[in-house]
Amino acid sequence: MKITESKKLFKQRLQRVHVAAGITFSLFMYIAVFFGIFAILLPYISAWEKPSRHIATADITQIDYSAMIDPVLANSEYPTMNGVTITLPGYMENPTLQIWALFTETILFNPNTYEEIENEGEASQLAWFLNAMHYGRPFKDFGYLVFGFVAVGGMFLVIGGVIQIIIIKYNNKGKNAQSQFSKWHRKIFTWVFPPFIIITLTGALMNIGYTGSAPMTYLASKGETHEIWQLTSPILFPKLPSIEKKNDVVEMMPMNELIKKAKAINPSIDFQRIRISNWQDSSAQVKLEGYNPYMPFLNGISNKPSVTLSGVDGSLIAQQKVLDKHWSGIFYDSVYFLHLLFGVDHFTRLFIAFIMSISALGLGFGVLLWLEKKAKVFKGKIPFYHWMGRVSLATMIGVFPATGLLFVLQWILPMELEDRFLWHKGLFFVAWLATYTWSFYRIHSYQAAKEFLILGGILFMLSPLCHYVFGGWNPIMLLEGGMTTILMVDIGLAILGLLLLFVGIKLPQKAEESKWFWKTEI
Amino acid sequence: MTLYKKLSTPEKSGKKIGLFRTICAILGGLLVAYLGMTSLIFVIPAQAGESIIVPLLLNTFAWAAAALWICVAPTKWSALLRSVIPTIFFAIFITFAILWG
Repeated sequence: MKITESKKLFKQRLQRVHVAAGITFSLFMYIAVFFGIFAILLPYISAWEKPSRHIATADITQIDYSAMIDPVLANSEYPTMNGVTITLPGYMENPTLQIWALFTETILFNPNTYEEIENEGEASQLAWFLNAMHYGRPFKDFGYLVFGFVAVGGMFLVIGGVIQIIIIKYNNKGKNAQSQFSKWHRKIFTWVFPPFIIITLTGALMNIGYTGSAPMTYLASKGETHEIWQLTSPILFPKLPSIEKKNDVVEMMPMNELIKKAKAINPSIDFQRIRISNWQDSSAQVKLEGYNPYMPFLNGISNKPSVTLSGVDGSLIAQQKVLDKHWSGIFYDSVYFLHLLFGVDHFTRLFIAFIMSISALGLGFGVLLWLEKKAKVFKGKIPFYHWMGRVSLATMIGVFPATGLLFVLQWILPMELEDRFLWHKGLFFVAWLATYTWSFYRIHSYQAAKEFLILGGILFMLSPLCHYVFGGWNPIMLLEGGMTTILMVDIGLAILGLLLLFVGIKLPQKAEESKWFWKTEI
Repeated sequence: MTLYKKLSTPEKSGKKIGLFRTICAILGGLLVAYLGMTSLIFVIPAQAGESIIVPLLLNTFAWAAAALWICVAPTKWSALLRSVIPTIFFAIFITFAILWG
């Protein structure tokens, strides 16, 4: 066989397999990316959704930690024997201080007034649900497997796609709808594929990688175990060595002093958590761990730099810096960093959310390209699309009104409502399914898309209003009360709503009129 | 011999992938990637808990890459070889590494 012939076959197969795998995985990939964008914004949404989190963001240098922590720990009823974990205000945009011990409910404090606040608990799960939708959790093991395989498919598509861009000469000058969609699909992914592939890689690992690692672990440990965590957790998440109790009762140092000492020892750490063991014993240890923002990609996930102090006099017992971790742990963190974004600043978070929104568009262009290629023209003038177009329409555009409804319902449904979360997610799924019916019912898909976008836009714009009317807040209250993050969520929702409304109004009614919208000639 | 001939004759067009290549790509790709990554554990000079982390992370990526490599093979026969030969090679390597490593 000639080389040119085999090269032609190679290119054909590369393209064919990209198309086949692409249309199989794209809708699931889109769902993962769509809800993933909300998951990136999870810290902000979880502050927005809960009345108990509507408190000012306290200045962390001014907080009197002792006023909240010391009385809880001094209480002889509080079970400190298995260790206590304290999460400091500001971690993941959570303005409260949280104290937790084994077998207890988390205690929440307002760090401005030092008063205990009531937690909504299970009633309010908006942000958590959006995050769960991102990786198939509502469908349990089945959902994990499906989304895991979709992530592997995503990598398959990215690798194949990048090879195609390198070896095939594409013409960007075409004016018809097909070549426009193809151009934008390629352009977008040429720019965003590096973060995209890292994020899909870790996604696949979390959904199927760990569960599938049993044989590998068994071989690596030479038959000792098939539980991956038994091998890796001593490296990634080493436990505090258990210290023998002296069984005496000693006065402990106030928490304020301990935090101050830790800050003096390593000023580059943003402290997030405090883990306490053997409190009120002369062997008491306090481990303060956090994130070093000067070394992004190297810490934050498993690698948490820490300072361990004695609870009695605050003397330094141990210290771990970012680069003290084993290199495999640092590698783990650098791969996971872009996906989990623990402890990063607002800019990084919004930037990644922006990149992922663009890639959602790229996925959309890919599907549109497939549909254009499949389209038949009836009687020489009426374009006739594949049924997949209706499914894609409801999945990709119909998800906007359904999610908008989720945000509106968050403030309309009363917190005391029995089985509140069931109603909340139930209505969301019903609304989404309704869009499937609607997209098959409408003769013109463009008209259905227009309606979904306008409805979604209205719902997203209504959600801040519901927040004000039913929650009893207003922008001035939020601004003056130091709750800018929550105000920003309101503004963000309104802008998203406006954007959807704008696109919905601009979108033409019928496919034949779409030329000017996509700037194409048919 | 006729089966070999059938499998080793290149198809006229690459526009159809077919069930044979699909199965080779998905299952063969999984075996090649999984065993390849397991071999990597024994190549990386560290104790098991440390050396398993990199292969664990790259496992699914390797699956995707191996599947692509297999399904674009010039003939069905070579797709089969691409999934079988590395699998056997890695399996032997792992056996040696465990027994004499």
